[in-house]
Amino acid sequence: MRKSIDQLLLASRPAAQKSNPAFVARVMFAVRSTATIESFAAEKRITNTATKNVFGSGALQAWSNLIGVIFKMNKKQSFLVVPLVVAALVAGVVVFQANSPVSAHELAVAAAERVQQMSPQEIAQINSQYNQDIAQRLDEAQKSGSLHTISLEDLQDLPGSLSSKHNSAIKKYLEYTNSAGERIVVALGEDNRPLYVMNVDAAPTLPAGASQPDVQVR
Amino acid sequence: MKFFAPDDRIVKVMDETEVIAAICQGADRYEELVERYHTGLIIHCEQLVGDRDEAEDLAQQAFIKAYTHLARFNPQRARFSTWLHHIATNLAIDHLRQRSRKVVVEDIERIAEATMPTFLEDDQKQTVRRAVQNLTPPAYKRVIMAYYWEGKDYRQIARELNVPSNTVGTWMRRAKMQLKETLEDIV
Repeated sequence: MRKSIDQLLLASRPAAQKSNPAFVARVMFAVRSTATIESFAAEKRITNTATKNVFGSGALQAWSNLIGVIFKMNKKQSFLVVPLVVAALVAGVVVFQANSPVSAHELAVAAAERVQQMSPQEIAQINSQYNQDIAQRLDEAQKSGSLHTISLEDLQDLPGSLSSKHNSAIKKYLEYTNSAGERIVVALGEDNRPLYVMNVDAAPTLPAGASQPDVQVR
Repeated sequence: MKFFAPDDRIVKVMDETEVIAAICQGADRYEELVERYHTGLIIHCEQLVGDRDEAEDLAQQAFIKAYTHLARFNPQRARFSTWLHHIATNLAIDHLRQRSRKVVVEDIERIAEATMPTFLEDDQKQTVRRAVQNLTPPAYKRVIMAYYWEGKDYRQIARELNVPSNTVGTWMRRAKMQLKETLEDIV
């Protein structure tokens, strides 16, 4: 059978050739998160009927939805990150007020469910408020002289920031130190639109074995 | 006594099967497969959807889908890379349909065929690499190596060479024409 030039060139790629480490890291993050979700759901089904009653058999679905939203996000959809994170915070407050311990997983489950219920107007409003808030923080950080750009490589060396690699929509990272002396990293998308804010000095608490330290916000 | 050199294809397929079996038993070795196949898969998707960012998203989805269905993969029926590329082709067809484009599946499959993984003997690989090294002007060699072996997209190559993306595309076409002539015995 005849071979195309594309096939010949791809088949001749030197085995030791490293090419796109950021893409490999992004895929592996998504793959490991998928594995974590599955084991989390399985564990919940088997060992914790109380949790199952609260979060129900929809836990896996909700997690899948959340991770699906984040990892399938492209440039046009990345606006959903902020509502997801905000919803996680809202869900966290609700659970916290109910005086119940909560894991990052459970927050994410609740967040995914909340975002699914949001209207496009609500999402737009959250994004708008968030953008203004971040713009103000960055402005203040710039005035205080602590704002600077950091590279993906720098970011990988920081604690609690593993999740930052997965999204191709991220174009630039800025870092500054807030009034509490904590290092804050802001991930910016196209047109300098803020996508994430991570407090890298406050690594999230995760269940044992989990590899999915999702965004720790403000 | 004469020792037979191991058949490269058999060694590689065995190695791949071994890695997959280990993953199915819980080993954290999927990265080896991602590392090995991502460049070709991204190019495969890019040929299908015509956009690098969308291609990377599709390739990522294909890797995740392959991972979650790995237990169903049958190495007796196909190589992992072939199976993975078929998953990506199906995802690309779905993606194109979602973009409300008229999708002729036969056309997509024909395009997909041009970047499906293929096997080359070691001496054929050397011939191809030599042909790339001998491309003239040297910029042609650079664009081919950067795109097919280093996994860079046109924008990255254009920045690196300080030329417009269109120029990269032109050099790529001309380089491939040269290679087609040089490698007509294999092509």
